[in-house]
Amino acid sequence: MLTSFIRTVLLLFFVILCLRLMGKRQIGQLQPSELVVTILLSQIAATPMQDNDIPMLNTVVSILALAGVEILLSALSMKSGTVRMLVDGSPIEVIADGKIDQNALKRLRYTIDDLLEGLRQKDIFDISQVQSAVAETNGGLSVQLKAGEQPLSVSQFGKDAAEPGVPAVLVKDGKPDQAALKSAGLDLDTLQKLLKRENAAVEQVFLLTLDATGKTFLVRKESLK
Amino acid sequence: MKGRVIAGILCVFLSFAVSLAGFLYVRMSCGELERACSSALAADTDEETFAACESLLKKWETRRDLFGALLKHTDVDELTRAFLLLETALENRDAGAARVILANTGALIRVIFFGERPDFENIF
Repeated sequence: MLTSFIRTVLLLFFVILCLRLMGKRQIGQLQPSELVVTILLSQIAATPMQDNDIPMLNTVVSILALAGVEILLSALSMKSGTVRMLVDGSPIEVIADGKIDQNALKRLRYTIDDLLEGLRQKDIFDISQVQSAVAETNGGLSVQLKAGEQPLSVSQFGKDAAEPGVPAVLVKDGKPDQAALKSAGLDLDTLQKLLKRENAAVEQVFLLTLDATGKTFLVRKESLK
Repeated sequence: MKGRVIAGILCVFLSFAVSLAGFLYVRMSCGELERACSSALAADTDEETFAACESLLKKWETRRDLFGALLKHTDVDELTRAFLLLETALENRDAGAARVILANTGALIRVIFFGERPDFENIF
């Protein structure tokens, strides 16, 4: 039992290390080869956690080989379009110029229900609004609306809009983020002054953000029950 | 990107190197243990058999830990059991039993090694 516990902890950290090395994306964004490797990795790691008969070295070797080959395959796919096409496939246009390509749907084994579901997930409930839709290699659907259905943008009004920027997260869970303070050109004294304006101490702050216009957003810590 | 590629190459190389090193060690050690079993079996007298068995048991003791890391634990347990039986036969000065155990142990070592070889049968 103790052996199982030690193996589980060791293998968990080892798998996390390998996944970090491979630079995994979110499950929904994985290419087919990456999905295969992720599933295989989890299976290979799980078996010796439960079966003490299998030497751990076998598992380590298998995981290292998988991770290494996947990294090299990814690198090769980046360099070569042919390899990319062979390993991951190509995106396929399922709606072109507002018309559904039924042959493409058949090739992909997509039913019309799958297509409509993909559109609904993009908040599009009326297929007639779609100019173009592409089934990506990771299984997702990319959609372009018809010109008349697209939301208006500031530039279409002939106006200039200030770039919004990303608000800096200055305090998280009572602790100041030194890197964020530095990139916002602030120091701890300035932070204290900011918090004094809000009648709060750093330890009392759950979240504090500062945007490019100098506006702050503060959430105080709640006393947990 | 370059760092990741180097890491990928290292991973593949390391996994291959470790598995090759493990296989070569198992091959070498199984060969030595099997030869020791055979020479113990071929001994002319009971005393020579006992001396050869003691030497074999010492060889096994030095290899047991690494075998545990490289082979399936059920295989290592079977080998451990066989050598414990040999030890018992030695303690009882039973040359006949020792020879039977030696023959079984030699066959067991051969079977275990056959299972580790990267040949057509094992791969597929």
